[in-house]
Amino acid sequence: MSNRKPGLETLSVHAGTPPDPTTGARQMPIYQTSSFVFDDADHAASLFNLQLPGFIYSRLTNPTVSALEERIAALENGRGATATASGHAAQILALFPLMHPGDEIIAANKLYGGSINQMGISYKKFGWNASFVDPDDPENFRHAITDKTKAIFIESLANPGGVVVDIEAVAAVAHHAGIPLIVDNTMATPFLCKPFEYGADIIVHSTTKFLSGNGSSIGGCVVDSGNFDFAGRDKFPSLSQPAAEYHGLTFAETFGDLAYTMHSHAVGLRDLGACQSPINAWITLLGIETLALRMERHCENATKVARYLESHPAIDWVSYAGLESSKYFDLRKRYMPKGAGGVFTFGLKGGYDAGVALVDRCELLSHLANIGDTRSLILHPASTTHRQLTEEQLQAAGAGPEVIRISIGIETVEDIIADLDQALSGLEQAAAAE
Amino acid sequence: MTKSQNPETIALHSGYRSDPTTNAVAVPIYQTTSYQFQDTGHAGRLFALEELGNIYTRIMNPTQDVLEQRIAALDGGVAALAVSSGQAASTMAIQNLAWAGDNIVSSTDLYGGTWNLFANTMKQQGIEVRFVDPADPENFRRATDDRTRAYYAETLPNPKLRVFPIQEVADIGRPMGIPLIMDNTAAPIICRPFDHGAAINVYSLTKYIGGHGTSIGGMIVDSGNFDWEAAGARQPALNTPDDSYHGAVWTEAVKPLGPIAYIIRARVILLRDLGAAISPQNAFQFIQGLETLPLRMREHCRNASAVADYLAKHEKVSEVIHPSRQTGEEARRAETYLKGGLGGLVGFELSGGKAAGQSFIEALEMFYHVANIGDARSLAIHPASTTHSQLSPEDQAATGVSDGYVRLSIGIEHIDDIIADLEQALAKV
Repeated sequence: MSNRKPGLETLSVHAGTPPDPTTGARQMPIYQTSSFVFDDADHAASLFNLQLPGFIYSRLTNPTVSALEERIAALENGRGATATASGHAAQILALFPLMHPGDEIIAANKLYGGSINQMGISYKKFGWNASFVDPDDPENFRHAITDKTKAIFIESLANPGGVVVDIEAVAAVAHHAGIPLIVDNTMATPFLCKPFEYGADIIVHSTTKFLSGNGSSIGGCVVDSGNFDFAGRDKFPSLSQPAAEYHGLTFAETFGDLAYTMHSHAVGLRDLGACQSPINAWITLLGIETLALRMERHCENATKVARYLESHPAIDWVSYAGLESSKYFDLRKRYMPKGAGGVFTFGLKGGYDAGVALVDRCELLSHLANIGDTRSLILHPASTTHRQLTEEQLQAAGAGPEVIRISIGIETVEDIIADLDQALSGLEQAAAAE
Repeated sequence: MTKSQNPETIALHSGYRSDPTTNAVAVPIYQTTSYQFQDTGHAGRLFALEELGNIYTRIMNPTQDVLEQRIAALDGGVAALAVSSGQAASTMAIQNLAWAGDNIVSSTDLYGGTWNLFANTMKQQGIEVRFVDPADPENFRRATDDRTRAYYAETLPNPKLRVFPIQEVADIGRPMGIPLIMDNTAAPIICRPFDHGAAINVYSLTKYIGGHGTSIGGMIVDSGNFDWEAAGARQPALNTPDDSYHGAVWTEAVKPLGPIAYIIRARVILLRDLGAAISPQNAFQFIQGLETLPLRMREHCRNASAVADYLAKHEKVSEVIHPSRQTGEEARRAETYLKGGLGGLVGFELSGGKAAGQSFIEALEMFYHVANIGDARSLAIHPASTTHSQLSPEDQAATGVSDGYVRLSIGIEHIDDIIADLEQALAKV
């Protein structure tokens, strides 16, 4: 390959997967193995002491999983990556090198409902505290920061509300406080948004969504930009102070801009064990091959569906950052010039009952709790994914009783619209009959 | 790499030690279609068969290769070819020798699917299959003419479980240049047909070798012990120039690579053109199954013998079909050809006929009612009302299936649970 930096489409099919040196196999082998043999006792010792890169045990590293890590790191223009068993595991792993009991993170209150639960309730059991602020005004983060705050967490394009966050402004707030900004880039994907270009330090993904695209495998990934220097910072002792179990090695000094990623494997995956299966990594690698093509079509279809819905009398509002009516339209054009993604929400005039009925009436759109599938999906969050949230949290997360979340697939767009059209007219007839 | 001759060790170690690139201990799943050539010279040598190597997964694959090497080693053969199903293995094993106008002689004791393949589909391809009763091995000689290219039989055939006279029939064919192809699906590990003169083994991997019921696959194993060149005009496929490979004469072209002319031709001609390739994922599943095959076969055999003993004492059972119940020449063959066990299959006859057979099957709780054999789980079927229901009563009787006949494929569950399920089901008959 020439010296020019390859484009995203090229990286999507090449990064991380050169032909297998042993067999010439052009596609990445699936190393469905737990263990790796050592050349000799010295080799084994060097691997365990992190003096040599290499494979020991698939909970820590695995060649197929490494290929996925390398590919996602390349797509995000990051320094290193850690694949995990799920997107939620990626969020834990992302914070693990940064947090100790009593520490806190500041997160946007417009997040995927599962993340709000995870951070608001489960983190407390590790002694981690999360506070939530409205990301529409980046200054809200500044006001919430204390000397215990170790990171800011946002979604570049929030699930589900079509909310775009001003990454650059929030990154400035984080860096002013000496802490990293973590961006969940699941909804936008590196095709639409490159958070590292705007100062983000760490990116997390649920690879289950657009990256794999096929809805067959659960997985996550943490990507480190390598830009946040942890050396000498007392705020982050896991990385800046000697690690007893590795004979007093200091990650930030020994591994430089790979310190965070090395720690995630050598300590995070080692002890928390949320490793990704090689077959899932392999399926995700395949999915990424068509990421750019799919994302273009997701965006194009979603824009057409959003316009259709906006003009429908049964619809109260549509929240899609691809529409001029969205208050996030300008921010979106700045951070995601190629499109606004495939997921958005809309409000039904008929409220909660209409929401439940619409989902039931759809024939082509699948009723399920996922997003980013090649197939179109529809969900009524208030009665499903977000039902554990309080009324206040529901409103804050953009998941009120009238709200429908829709993830537009890559089907023929006329078929998607026709299905919604028949389902919506069914609603109107039912309402007229009452 | 292991030099062991013991099946337990071969099943775990033969054909692969660790991946040179990553040190991975488990065999990598090469789910790839294509392989990068090192340079144009390398590509040329591969296509010319001057060097063995990976070209395209329809023809070969590194995961598949490990499976092939392991099974070849278990059988005492020199090379093997994995294909997409057991039926594909049977078909290709014959098509590799017999063309339109040729014939083979086959035992009548066959799996129904193979019977159909031979009696109908092979006929439509111009290959005649002459069926003979293996009770008298000389029947094979009597059916042979100068267009006979192979003999074919199953080691331990359903439903009668009469072990095939391997050495006797191999000895008839060999002086005439006719190889014996053995379907050893029902008796891996416990029978090694190459030790008794067979030239080729075929398997449905789907059965005992997989054991898990997750994957379909087949295997052809070449003993390397058959002198194809000496067979001369009897075997034109291997001894005359092959138009589809630059006029190669396989017995000469492959000589530098070893005595593997038969299996190489099957790979580079038949698999290339007919395309019944096994998936690398399935090959990996079979490698997993193979690891415990020696242990499972031992347990299958032990459990099946215990079931045969149990059934023989049951008042509602009029006859038990199992090698342990055989006498005379049948018993001698079982003793000669089966080592370390008598297989996992048991048949029995219910005195109550068809109604009894059906109600027995309905009453089973743990046994699965399926038309399969060789699974780790115990399986049962009543052929008269299922697999053989399209046959007339006379044809059913000819195949050894009577109204009250039940076929069991005994699994590796605890023997007490197997017998308890049979007992409660028999009580309801």
